[in-house]
Amino acid sequence: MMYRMTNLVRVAAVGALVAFAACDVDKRDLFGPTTPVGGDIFRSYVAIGNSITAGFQSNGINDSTQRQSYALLLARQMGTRFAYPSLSLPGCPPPIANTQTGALVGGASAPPCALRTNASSTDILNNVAVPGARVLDPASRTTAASNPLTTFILGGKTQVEKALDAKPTFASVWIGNNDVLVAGLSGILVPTPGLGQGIISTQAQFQVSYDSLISQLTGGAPGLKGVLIGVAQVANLPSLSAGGLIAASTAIQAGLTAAAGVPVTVLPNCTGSTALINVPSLIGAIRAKTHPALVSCGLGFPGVPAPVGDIFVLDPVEQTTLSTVISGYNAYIKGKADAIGFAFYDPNVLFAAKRASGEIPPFPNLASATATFGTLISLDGVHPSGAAHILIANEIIPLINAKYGTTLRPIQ
Amino acid sequence: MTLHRASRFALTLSVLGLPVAAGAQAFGLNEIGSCALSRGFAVTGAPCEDGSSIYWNPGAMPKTRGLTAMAGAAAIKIDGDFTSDTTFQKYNTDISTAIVPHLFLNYRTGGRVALGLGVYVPYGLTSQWGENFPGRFSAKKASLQTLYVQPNIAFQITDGWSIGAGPVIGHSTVELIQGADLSTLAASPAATFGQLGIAKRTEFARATLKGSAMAYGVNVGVHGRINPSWEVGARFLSTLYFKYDDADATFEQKTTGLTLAANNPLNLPAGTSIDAILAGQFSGSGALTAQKVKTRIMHPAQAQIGFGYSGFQNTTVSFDYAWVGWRSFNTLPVDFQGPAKASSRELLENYNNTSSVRLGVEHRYTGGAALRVGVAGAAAAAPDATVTPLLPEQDRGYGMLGGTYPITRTLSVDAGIAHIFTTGRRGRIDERSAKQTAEQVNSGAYTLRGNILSLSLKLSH
Repeated sequence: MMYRMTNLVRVAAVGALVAFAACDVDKRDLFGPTTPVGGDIFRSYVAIGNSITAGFQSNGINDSTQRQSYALLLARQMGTRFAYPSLSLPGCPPPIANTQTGALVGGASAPPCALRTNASSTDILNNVAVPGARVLDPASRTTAASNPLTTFILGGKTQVEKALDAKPTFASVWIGNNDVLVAGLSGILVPTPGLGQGIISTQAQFQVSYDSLISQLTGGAPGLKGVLIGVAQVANLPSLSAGGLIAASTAIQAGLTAAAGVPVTVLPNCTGSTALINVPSLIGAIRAKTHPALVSCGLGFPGVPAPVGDIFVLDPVEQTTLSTVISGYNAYIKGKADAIGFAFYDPNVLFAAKRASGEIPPFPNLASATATFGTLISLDGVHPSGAAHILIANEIIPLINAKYGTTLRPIQ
Repeated sequence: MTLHRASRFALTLSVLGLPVAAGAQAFGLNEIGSCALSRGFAVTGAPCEDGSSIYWNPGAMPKTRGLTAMAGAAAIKIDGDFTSDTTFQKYNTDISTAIVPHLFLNYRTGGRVALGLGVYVPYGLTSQWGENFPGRFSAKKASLQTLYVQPNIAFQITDGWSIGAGPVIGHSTVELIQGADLSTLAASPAATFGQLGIAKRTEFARATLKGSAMAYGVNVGVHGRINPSWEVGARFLSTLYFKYDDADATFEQKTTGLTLAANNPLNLPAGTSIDAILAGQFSGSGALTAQKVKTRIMHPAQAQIGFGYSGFQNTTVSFDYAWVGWRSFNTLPVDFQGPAKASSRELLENYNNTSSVRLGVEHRYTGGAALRVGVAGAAAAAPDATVTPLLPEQDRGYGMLGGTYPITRTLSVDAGIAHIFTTGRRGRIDERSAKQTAEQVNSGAYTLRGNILSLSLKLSH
């Protein structure tokens, strides 16, 4: 009997050892993915948009500019992964390095596109924004706005498809700027052959496209949270300067002459005018001899045929039209954000304030080759600089925190 | 559009670059014999009397007098998953239950000699993942099955000591199915599709590799009784070097569904289907037509020493230490026989030798019944940088339970079950270069677990 008991004890001891081994503790949390510091809603953040979101600056884009995108800055504050389609230096295309000489990053020998970096090759992108994209594009594989970057970034998919590949839990959408930007900069709001494509989307068209985008995105990612960003008012761009300002300043006129390389005459119809002149484009056209060396702030000046006074000029009526269109877009975007439980950010409060304070200058500093449009706008006069992206991110962060009860910290 | 010649090489290389097949070997489960399994594989010094010692210790065969025949099989069910750092998504394995046979015959004459034959599977693995598993470009499915046939002769030197040996004839078949990643393919002499924006892990082809090979080795052992209570044994199974010189590779196009946008860098019309561009590669003289490939897989040497104590009534306690020479699996050559011959290369594996400890207890009852328990632990052979979809290897422990049920005086059935425990391990789903560290390439967490049910029918006469 004693032997039998002893044997049973031995067997039990071994059994206990087996049972100990059988403690199948789930150690996944010790070696697996970790929750972002900003909270679980930021587990997978995707950014849909156009050039601003992509990190396009100074009429170019490369890894350096991509790293300055507000979307990447937001992701850092969220503590979440953020893969972007890194474009090799000097860029695709290389950004402007000097507004006076027109030199590009990488110099004259730089290729027009240095392709994606091999190291950035990934199946899951978080920044799927494509420069040039309009409201129709994120849900479409190809449109009239498609360009080489569409393929370089999306590789044959739509922005929404790429975004859904990331199984997003949080998304930002900033789209629509390109539906009005070219019209605003050209001063041609109605499509005119040979002059301009006008405003791309009517309110109805905008809403249909935007709704399709949001429906596909939220339909593919149930429970998605995020922020929708309004369309920027073109009139706040430093590329656009008031005709009255130009007429009143001999220094500005001297600068125009210096930049254009020929004497530039400012016509009397600019005196006191609130028409906005696209100075960089006008200078470029004068240099290219496609525009007479004069500034006209409206059509109909005696002896000055159209389109001079129309092209590169956003007269007060056009400003109102454009502003109304953009406001209509933004009202719809805000309503959509409210409807789907997203935060909404209107960037125009920031841009208007910076324009009013002069941080976005009322007239380009043509004497400066590297800070022509101030510190907040890059050398193309349109796209935000790295400093502006920080401001944008810091304005979005409290909106996200307020909407979702998170505690994302501002960028210092 | 035609693919650049260099791209065709790279493509084939990427498709057939099997780091994979070799890795399968490291999952040697040792499920050879139901008795041995349920005793934690601690049977070198205190062998099971069922003929399985032809594998476990060829020198111990004279212990069993007369004719012993044993046949059976082990059903192995392995489950696992991979959780991606990127998406937090978990991908489960999709592995069918494997049935692994074993057969042993042994006959000891009235003299000092025992003759035998063993047929067993010392190394083998099937790993299989789902269609959307991101690591399918390394291995969607990998199956390695190696059968060893071993005639054996053993000799009783003294009353307590015996030796034995047998040549090993190995036959190995390998099957590998993996995806081909379009992003790694050269679209032009200057750029890959990845550099043009095609996402990594865009599957445009699926490759299937099948091959077989023979190899030869030897298994030797010695067994002795130190005193009435203590036994000792040791064995050595040599390396078997399998050369798959005539493997077949076939390819199937997979639809990407991608279409090119306007103004794309390939200068093709908007809406062009990428699948249509690639279709020509799968027929005629295309790069992705059937071709031959050679590879080599080293099945490593094994050594084991064990002790058995039978001082308790009707009970044997055994303890073994086993070593497997995985360091011999350092590189894996891939020699293409088709248009990709110039891209032949050696893939880095850098496996380490492994050790395991094994403990078993057997209690025998009157009438021939027996109850067995065992535990074992084994260190992983794969280094941190080689934990892959084909073999997400990790340190593992075994817990075993089994027994013998006598049907008649000469016929009995052995049964054993084992559960394989692992702790989980970080691993990768992409290939790596020699300069890349585990921290750089590992992108998720693997878990594995398994169960084995082994049944053997034993005839003693």
